[in-house]
Amino acid sequence: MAEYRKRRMYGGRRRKVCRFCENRIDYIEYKDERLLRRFVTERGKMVPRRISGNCAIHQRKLTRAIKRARHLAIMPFVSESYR
Amino acid sequence: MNLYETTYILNPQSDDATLDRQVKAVNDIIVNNGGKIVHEDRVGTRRMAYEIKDLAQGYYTSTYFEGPGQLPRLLDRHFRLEDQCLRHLTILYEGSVERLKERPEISDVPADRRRPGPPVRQPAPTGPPDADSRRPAEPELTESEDIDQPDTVDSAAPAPEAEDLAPESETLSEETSTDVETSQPAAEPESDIQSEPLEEDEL
Repeated sequence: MAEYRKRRMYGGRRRKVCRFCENRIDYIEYKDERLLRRFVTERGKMVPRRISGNCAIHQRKLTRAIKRARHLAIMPFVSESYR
Repeated sequence: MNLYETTYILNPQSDDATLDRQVKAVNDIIVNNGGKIVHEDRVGTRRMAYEIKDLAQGYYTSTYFEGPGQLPRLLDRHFRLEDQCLRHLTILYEGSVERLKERPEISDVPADRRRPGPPVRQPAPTGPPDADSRRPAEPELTESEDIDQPDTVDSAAPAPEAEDLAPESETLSEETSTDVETSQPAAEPESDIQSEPLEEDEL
């Protein structure tokens, strides 16, 4: 019964857990391109929280890291193939 | 005193002596204005995500330093006047200093062609037997050392070699596991994250 309610609450899908909380990461390094790439679409847009499953705190930190990385040309503002 | 991190991109077409001079100029500003350099990481020449001043590559350097609050402003002024500086960013550093110093070998690598993602990271997930090797992993390691030693005393000849090998591999796995902490979070989820944003994009 509880299982059933749980499933209904999340639309039949498993609830996503914030990956940074899971791995106890409190500082998101903006130079870590490989990490940041995973939270950005092919076009270079940031992935929303509702899809990535990040918690609010880490999404904010991630956002800041991505914006810093863009400024330093570590990440693209718009991916080359879409320009 | 605050802990800052300044990262800047220099024109990679300058020769090595010029680059050295420019990096030194930045360090001098820090030291001469009451700052203290904690760590310097010369990432070297790497491809930029977009062209700046018609250049596709940039020479990246990161310097971590402690200093008074007016120091970032002085650095900013310097970078603006220096026309070989393509981009610069000075921030309050919130990461751990210990982690910076744990990996001093990074700056020892010949800086020219070094990439930000060190290849050390790849073997990490397979290395330690339990996948979530976080902080609690360390006491376990020391325990296993203790257990190993009596064994090696009992069995005579081949033992010393094993003893020599074991601590090395352990320190390695420790190093890699600290590295993994930063890169791991999205290691598994890659598939589901990347597939979903794609749908969004197509909309």
